Amino acid sequence: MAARRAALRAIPSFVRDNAAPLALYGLFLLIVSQLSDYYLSRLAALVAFWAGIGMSWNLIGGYAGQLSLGHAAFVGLGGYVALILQQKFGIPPWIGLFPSTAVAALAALAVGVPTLCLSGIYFALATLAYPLILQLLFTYWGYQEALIPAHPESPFLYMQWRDNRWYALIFGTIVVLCWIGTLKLERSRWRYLLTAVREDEAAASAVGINTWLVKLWAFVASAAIAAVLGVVYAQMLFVVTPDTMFGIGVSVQALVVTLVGGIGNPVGPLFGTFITVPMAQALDAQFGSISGAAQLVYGIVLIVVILLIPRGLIEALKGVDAPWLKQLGHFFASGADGEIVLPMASVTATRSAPAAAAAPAGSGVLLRAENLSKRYGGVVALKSFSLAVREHEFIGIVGPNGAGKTTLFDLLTGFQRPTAGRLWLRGDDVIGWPSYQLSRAGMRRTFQIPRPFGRLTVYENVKLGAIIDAADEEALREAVWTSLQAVALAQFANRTADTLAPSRIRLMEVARALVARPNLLLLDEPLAGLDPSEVNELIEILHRQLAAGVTIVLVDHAISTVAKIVQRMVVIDNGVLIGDGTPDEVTCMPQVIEAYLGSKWDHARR
Amino acid sequence: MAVVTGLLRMSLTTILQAIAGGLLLGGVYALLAAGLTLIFGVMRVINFAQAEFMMLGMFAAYFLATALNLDPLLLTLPVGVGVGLVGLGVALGLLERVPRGDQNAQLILTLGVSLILQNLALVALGPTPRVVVRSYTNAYWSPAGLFINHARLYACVASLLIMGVLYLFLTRTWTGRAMRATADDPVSAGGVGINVRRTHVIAFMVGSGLAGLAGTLMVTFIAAAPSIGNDFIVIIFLAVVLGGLGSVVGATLGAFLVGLVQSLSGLLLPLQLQNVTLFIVFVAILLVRPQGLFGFRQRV
Amino acid sequence: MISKSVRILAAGITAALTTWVAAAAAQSTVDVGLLGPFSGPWAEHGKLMRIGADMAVEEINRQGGIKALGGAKINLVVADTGPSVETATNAAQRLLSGRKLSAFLCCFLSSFTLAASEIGERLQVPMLTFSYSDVLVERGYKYTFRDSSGADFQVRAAAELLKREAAKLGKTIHSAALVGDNTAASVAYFKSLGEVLPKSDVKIVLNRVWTPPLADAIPVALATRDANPDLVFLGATTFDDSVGIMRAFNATGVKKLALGNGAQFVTPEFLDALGPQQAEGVMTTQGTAITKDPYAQDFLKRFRERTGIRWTGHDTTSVYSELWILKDALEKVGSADATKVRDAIASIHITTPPPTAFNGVDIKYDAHGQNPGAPTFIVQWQNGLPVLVAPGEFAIAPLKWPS
Repeated sequence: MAARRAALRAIPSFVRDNAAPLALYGLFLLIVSQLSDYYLSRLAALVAFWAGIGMSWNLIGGYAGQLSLGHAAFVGLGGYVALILQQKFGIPPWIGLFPSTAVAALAALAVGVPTLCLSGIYFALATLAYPLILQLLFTYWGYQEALIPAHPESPFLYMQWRDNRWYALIFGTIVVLCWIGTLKLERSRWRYLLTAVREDEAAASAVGINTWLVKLWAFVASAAIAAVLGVVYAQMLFVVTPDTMFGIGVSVQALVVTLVGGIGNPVGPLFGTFITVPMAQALDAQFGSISGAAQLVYGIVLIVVILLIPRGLIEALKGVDAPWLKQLGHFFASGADGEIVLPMASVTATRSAPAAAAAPAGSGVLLRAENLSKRYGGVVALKSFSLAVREHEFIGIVGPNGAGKTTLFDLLTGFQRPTAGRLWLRGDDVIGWPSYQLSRAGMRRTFQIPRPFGRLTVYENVKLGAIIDAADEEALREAVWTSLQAVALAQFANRTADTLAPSRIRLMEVARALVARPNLLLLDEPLAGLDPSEVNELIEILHRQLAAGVTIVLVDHAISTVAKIVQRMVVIDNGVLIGDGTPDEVTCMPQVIEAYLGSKWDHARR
Repeated sequence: MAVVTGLLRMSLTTILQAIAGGLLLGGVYALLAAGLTLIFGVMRVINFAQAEFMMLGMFAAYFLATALNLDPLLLTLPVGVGVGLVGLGVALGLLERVPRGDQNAQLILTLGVSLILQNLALVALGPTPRVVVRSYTNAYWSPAGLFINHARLYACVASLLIMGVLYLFLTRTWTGRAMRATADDPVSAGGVGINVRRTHVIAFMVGSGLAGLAGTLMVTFIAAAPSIGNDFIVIIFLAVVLGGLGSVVGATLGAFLVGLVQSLSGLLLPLQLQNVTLFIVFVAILLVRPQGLFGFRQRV
Repeated sequence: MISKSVRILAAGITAALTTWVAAAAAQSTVDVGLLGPFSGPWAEHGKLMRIGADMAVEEINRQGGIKALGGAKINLVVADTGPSVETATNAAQRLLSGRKLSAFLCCFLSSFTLAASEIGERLQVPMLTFSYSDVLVERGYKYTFRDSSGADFQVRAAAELLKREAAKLGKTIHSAALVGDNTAASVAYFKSLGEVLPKSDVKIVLNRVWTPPLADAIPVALATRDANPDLVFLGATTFDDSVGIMRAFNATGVKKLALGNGAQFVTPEFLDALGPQQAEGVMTTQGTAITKDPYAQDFLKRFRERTGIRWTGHDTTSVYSELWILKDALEKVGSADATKVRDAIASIHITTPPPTAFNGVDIKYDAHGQNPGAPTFIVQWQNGLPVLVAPGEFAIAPLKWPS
C-alpha cells in the first residue's frame, strides 16, 4: 500500500522534473505523425539523429570540456558492428544494438584510458586519429560499400521501414531519453564534478576529484549513445561506406550543432540541430545544382553565426532582456539551473574538529618529506629537501623568488613527481600518489594564482570542496555554511565567483579547502596582493583553524610577515633547505640573511 | 625486429628509393607544417584551413603560369605573398573578432574558412583538375638505379631554402623574435611592449603564406583542384604533432619523418595500410611525449 | 451593326486567345532528375555527365519535346549527391518526393547509386544508370535500369578480348599485374579479375592496392617493373593517382599494355598531364562510347563545338543515351507518370540511334533491369586521342600493342 502511494507520488515528480523533454517529445510525435511526405519525414528523422549525436558529444565535449574531434569513431563502430552481425550471422539490428554498444564502449575505454591523460588541444588532436584509423581498417577489410541485407517482408524485425517516420520515432525517443538523462545529471552531484573538471582540472584535483575518471565516464557514455544512434543511422541509409560513418564530416557536425546551440547545456544540441540541419537542407535544395554553392553558403553562415554568438545560441539568449524568454529558459532547464541558496538559520559558531582524531599538540608527524629532489633537464629545482611536519604545527616555508618554493609545494601536494626522495602522509608512503588522492587523504591546498570555478557561485565553489565525501545533502550544507562563515563570505554565497574581488577569491579558496575538514592545509603564497587589513583577516582565520586542530603549512616569500605569524619557519634558497627553527632563530641565521640580502632583516626581528 | 628483417630482405635500391621518396615528400610537407605550427605557436589556433591556402596557391600559380607563360618556381614569392594577404584578411576580419582563448569558436572559424575556400574555388573555377606541365615534370634523375623526379626535387630544395629564410626571419628579425616571444609567453610578451595582436596577425599571414608557397611548388606535380586540401590536412597535422606544436624546427623534422614513415611503411605493410602506421605513431607520440620532439612543455 | 474592323479585331483576339490557351494546355514539362557528384573529388565526372544531359535535353526539346504529351519539354532537375551516402540519399529523397519526377539518372559512385536505387524502388520512380556495380541488378529491383555492361561482365569481356588480340599478333598472355586503389569500383574489378584470369591461364604476378591518395607511385611502378607482367590492370580512380602511376610507369620503363577501369583515363586533363606520348597505348573500359555510327560521330562534332574538347567518355555519352532512351519510353507510354514510364522502359526495345550509336546494341532490359546485350567498349589512346578499339564491329581503329 505504502509502496503504491510512493510510486504514485514518484510519477508526478518525474513528469514535473522532465516537463520540457516530455512536452517536446509529445509535440514531436504529433508533428511527425502528420508528415506523410517522405522527404519531410526524413528531415525530421535526420534532425533527431543529429540532435542525438550532438547530445552524446555534449557529454564529453560540453560537460566534461574535452574537445573530441573523433566522435565519428563511435558512431561508425556502432553502425558497422551491427551491420557485420547482420551480414554474417543474420542477427537483427535490435539485438545487434547491444554488442555494438558494448564494442563502442570498450573502444572508448581502450582509447580513453591513455588519451584522457592529455589535455586540451593534444586530446583533440589525438581523437582525430581514431576515426581515420578505423576508416582505413574497415576499407582494408573490404567494407568499402556495405549493404544492409534487405528484408522487405519484416520491416519491424529488421528495422527497415520505407516510411521514415519510424526512424524519426526511434531517433526522437533516443533524444528524449538523452535529454532526460542529462537533466538528471544536472541535478546530481555529477553536474558539479563535470563542471569542476571542465573549468579547471588542477582545482578539481585539489578538491579530491579524480578528473581522469570523470572524463572517462563521460567519454564512455558519449560513445555508447553515439553507437546506438549509429546502428539506426546505418539502417536508415541502407548503404554504408567508411567515409559516411567515420568521416570527419560526422565529427565536425557533432561539434557544430552543439557549439551553435550552446555547449554544456542539455538543450544546446537540440537548438543547434534545429538551426543547422534544416538550413543545410534548404541550401542543398536551393543551390544543389550549382557545384559547391550550398556548402559555400553553409560555411559563410557558420562563420557569421560563430562571430555573432561565439558562446552559442543559448548563452546569447540569456543576455536578452525579455521576461517571456527567461520563463522559456526556466522551462527548458526544468529547474536544473544552479541553486539559489538561502542562508541557514543558525549555524554553530564553533567549528567541529577535523575529520581525523586530534592528538595532543606536537605528537605525531603528519607529513614527512625525505630528500625530495626535482630536476628539469639540466636544472636542479630542489635538492634533498627534508621536512617533518608535526600535527598542529603552523609552519611557514619561505625563500626568495626562484628558490624552489613552488616546486616544493607541487611536490608535497602531488601536483608534480619528484625525481628522487620519499614522502609520507601519516605513515602512508604517498610518493607517486596523484593529487586528488592526497586531497582525499586529508591534505588540501590553495593556489598561488587562485583557481576559482569562475562560473559557479561562491556557495557552489565551496560545496565542491566537500562534494566527494559528503554523506548527505544536509551535512554538506552545514559544512559549506560553516566554512563560508569562517572566512566571512557568507553574504556572497550566491554571487558567481568571477564577480568577486581578488582578495575575496583567495578567501573563498581557503573556504573551499577547509570545508572538507582537512588535517593539513597548505597555502601557496596566500599573502600576495593582500593589503595589511586583508592580511590580518587571513591570519585570524588561520589561527582559528589552528585552534580547531588543523595543521597549516604556508609557503611565501614575504619573510618578515610570515615570521610574525608562524611558529616554525623553514627557509629554502636555490632549491636547498638553509634554515629550520623558530622565526627568531631562523631570521638570525647568517645564511638566511645572506640569502635575502639586506637590512630588511631588522624588521623581521622583534 | 620484424621490421628490420623485412627491410633486409628487400633490395637496397628499393629501400633507398623509399627513403628518397619519403624525404622529397617531407620537404614539401615541411612548408605546410611549419606554417601550421607557427600559427598554433603564436595564436594557439589550429588552422584547419591550412591546406586550403595551399590550394589557393596552387590555383594562383596555375593561372599566372599559364597566362604569363612563366615557370611556377619563379612565381613562388608573389603567390606566397598573395596568399599571405588573404590570410591577413582572414586573421583581421575573423580570428581577431573572436574572444582570444575561445578555442571552440576559433575552431569553427577555421573550419568555416576551409569550407568557404574550398567551395568558392569550386563555384568560381569548377572541379576540373588543372595541371602545370613543365620540362621537369616528367624528367627523372636516376643515380644508382633510383628514380628522382625533377619537379619533386626542385620543390624539396626550394622548400628547404624557404625554411632557411624562415629560420633566419624568426631568429634574426625583430618581428620574428616578437613572434617567438609571444608564442612562448603571451602575457610577458605584451608586458615588454610587443603588440600581441599585430604579432598574431603577422603570424597568420606568414603561416598561410607558407602554405601558398607550398602550393606553388607542388602544382608542378600535383593537379590543382578545389578538394585537393583534404588529401594533405591529416599529414600536416601528423608532422606538426610529431615535431611539437609551436616548434618550426620540429615541424620541419616532423614533416621529413612523416614522409619517411609513410614511404617505409608502404614497403613493409600492405600498401593500403600505409597511413595506419602514421596514425598510430601520431597517437603514440601524443600519449608518450605530447610536446613532440621540440615543442613547448605545456604550462599548467 | 458591328463595324467590320471591330469584327476583324474580335476574330483576331479570339484566334490569339484560342492559340494561347491551346498552347498553354499542351505546354507542360516532364521532370527528369539528374543526380551526380557536382562537388568533391569526383566533381569533374559530374560536370561531364551534366554536359551530356544538357545536350540531350536541348536536342529533344528543340525537336519538339515529347510529342505524345503534346510537345511537353523535358525539364532537367539537377541535384548534387554531396560527400556522403546521407547527402546522396537526401538529394534523392528530396527530388523524388518533392516533384513529380518521371524518372531520374544517377549517380556515378556505386555506393550512392545503390542507395538511391533503394529510394527509387521505394518511391516507385525509375532510375537509369551506367554505374557498373554488379549488385545493382542482382537484387530484383523493378525500378533500376542499366543500359551498359556491369563490372564482372566488363572484366570477362576485356580479358577475352585481350587474349584474342594478343593471339592475332602471335603473343600469349601469361602474367598480369593488378595495380590500383581500394575504392569499391577497383575492388570489384580486381575481384573479378582474380576469378577470370586464372581460368585463362594468366598468372597474377603482382597485386598492389593502395588507399588513395598514393603518396609516391615510383615504388609501385618499380614493383611492377620487377614483376614483369605481360599486362597491367589499372584500378586507379582519382585523377592524381591515375596520372601519377602512368608517369611512374613511364619513368621506370614499364611499357606494358595497361587497361584501366573508367572514364578517369580519358579526360582531357589526363592528356594534359601526361602528354600524348606518355598516354599512348593506355586503354580503359567504357560502358558507352563514340562508335563508328554516324550519329555518334555527329554527336562528337557537336560536343566539340559546344565544349572545345576533342573527345568524351562514358560520363557524357551514357547520360546522353539514357535521356534518349527515356524520351522513347515517354513517347511510347504517352504519360509522365513514373510507374507507367517504368513499365514502358521495362518493355522497351530500341533498335535505332541515338541510343544504339553509343551503346552499340539494341536497348532492352531483362527482368533484373540489365541490358543483356550490352558490350564492353575498350578505348585506347592513340596519337593524343582516345579511340574505340574494341569490340571489333564498332572499333574505329585496331588495338595497338606496345613495342
